[in-house]
Amino acid sequence: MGAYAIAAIIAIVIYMAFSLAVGLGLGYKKEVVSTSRGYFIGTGTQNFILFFTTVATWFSTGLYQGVVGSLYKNGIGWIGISTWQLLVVSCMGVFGPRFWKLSKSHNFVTPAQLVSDYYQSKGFKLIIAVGMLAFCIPSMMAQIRGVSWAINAITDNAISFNMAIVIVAIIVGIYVYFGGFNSQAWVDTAQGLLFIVVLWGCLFIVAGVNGGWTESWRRLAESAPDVLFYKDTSQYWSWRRYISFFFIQGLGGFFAPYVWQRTYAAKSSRDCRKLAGYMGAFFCFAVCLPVVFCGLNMHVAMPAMENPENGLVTFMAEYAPGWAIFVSLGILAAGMSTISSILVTCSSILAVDIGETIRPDAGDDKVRQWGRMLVLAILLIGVVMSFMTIQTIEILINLTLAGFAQMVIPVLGIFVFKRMTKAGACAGYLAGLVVSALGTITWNNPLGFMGGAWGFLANIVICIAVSAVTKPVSEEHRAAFLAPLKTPDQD
Amino acid sequence: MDVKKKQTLYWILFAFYLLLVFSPFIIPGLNAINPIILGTPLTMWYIHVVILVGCILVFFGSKSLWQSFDDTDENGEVKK
Repeated sequence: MGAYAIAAIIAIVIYMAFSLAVGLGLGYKKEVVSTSRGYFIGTGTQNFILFFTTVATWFSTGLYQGVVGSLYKNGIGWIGISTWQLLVVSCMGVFGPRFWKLSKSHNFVTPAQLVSDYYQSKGFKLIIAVGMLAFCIPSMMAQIRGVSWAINAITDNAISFNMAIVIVAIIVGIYVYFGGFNSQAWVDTAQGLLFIVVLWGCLFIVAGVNGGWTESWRRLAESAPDVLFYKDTSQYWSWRRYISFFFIQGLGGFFAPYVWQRTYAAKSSRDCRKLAGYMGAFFCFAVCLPVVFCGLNMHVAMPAMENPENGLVTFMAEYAPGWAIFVSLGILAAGMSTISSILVTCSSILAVDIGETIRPDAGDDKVRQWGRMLVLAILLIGVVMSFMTIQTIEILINLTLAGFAQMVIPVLGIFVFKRMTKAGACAGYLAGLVVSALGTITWNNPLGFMGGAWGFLANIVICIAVSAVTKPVSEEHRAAFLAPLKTPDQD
Repeated sequence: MDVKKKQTLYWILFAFYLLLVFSPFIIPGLNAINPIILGTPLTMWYIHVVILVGCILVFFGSKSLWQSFDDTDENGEVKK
């Protein structure tokens, strides 16, 4: 084992120890985890922590790997990674305060509880819960694999891929099991700050290798001008793919259950609104700008990268080997923050949406205990799945955000389109999932639009058609459900 | 301006942002390297100006157009 691998292992050990110290020290609050609500969504998270746990949860290993690779291969059109963030935060600002208030008033802990309580349907609750789990668990598995790849690569196989999976799972499992949402949010904050600092370090290194900001762009325009132009419909990343991805990522990003639940975790609806207002600029400039710069400008020094998905690690290993260790820590941070968030969310879905439906007489303490046990069970499932390569899993990962985006329609039925019925919302949601899958896997993104966009369209059409011939939610129930959102000027 | 109008205004402005985001696909002159400003090609600086406009819209929305619900209780009555 060489000196570099030893240095990498030391850095990883320090990072893991730091994560545990934050999660079990600063983040662990016995009184918070003493209730199921506290365990799953905290008891009012301070703004700084909530801000960064949302950043860290939403941005994952994909930022360091997939997005960089997509920018390298497809060019400036992948600036979508920045532009669609504003749809995510817009949804957060418009729906987030509403979700917070309803969660507080009706004691909702999960997204399915909110939607199914309005439509008065346990069946719909279970469908949503199963749907969300079907996408969350493979996503968590993808993050575990991404992080484990990084550990294996930077230690030069001193830590095997499989051993890395086990290590990551144990570390995340410890602080999530004991501390729930609060521990996970504090660790996220530290991880979020780390991975952003590392990204900016990458920007300065890539720019430095290329001769500075101006020189880098000049050399890029000379050597690989194609990446600076938006593509027409004869190429992969045309406006059709971009616009469909914009809506799928933008809507799916906020309606992902692990992001949605962060609105429940705020101290007030005003804080929800305020944080969303600041998040836009932070997401686009603090997080995405260095990724965009690196993804495009790595062409200058490495014009024929074989595996651009891992381009940052490859580039740094070549030009700044010491920083490559930090890039690997950045991947760990980005991945582990998302893993822990998904873990808490899945645990809440199973314990609350499914557990409480099967055993409605279960007390709060029982639900909380289920939650803790399920954290370990879900982690075990994620670890086992991470050892496998199953096509179904890959498909589910690709459909994740399209699947989450289908929740928009039932939610609009709650706040905007009161004519939407339980049957319409449910049928539309299911149709959206099915057509998204068919559109992606079987029909191969017809006319250049992503399968998820076709799913969304099917969702709308089926929802309208079925709602037209079924009974809407009663006025009395709707008024009672939405009463907490009534404002003085609506009397 | 009432709440519904504010929400509608926000999404109308957001639609304009969306139009600006996709304008380089519509206007060929925006899908170019020149003019270069601060060493940065047009496609790169233009979209970041658009993103900045979008961020200002989001911030403005958070201050003036989006709602919060802390002043009322679970029945929609103003808290004492």
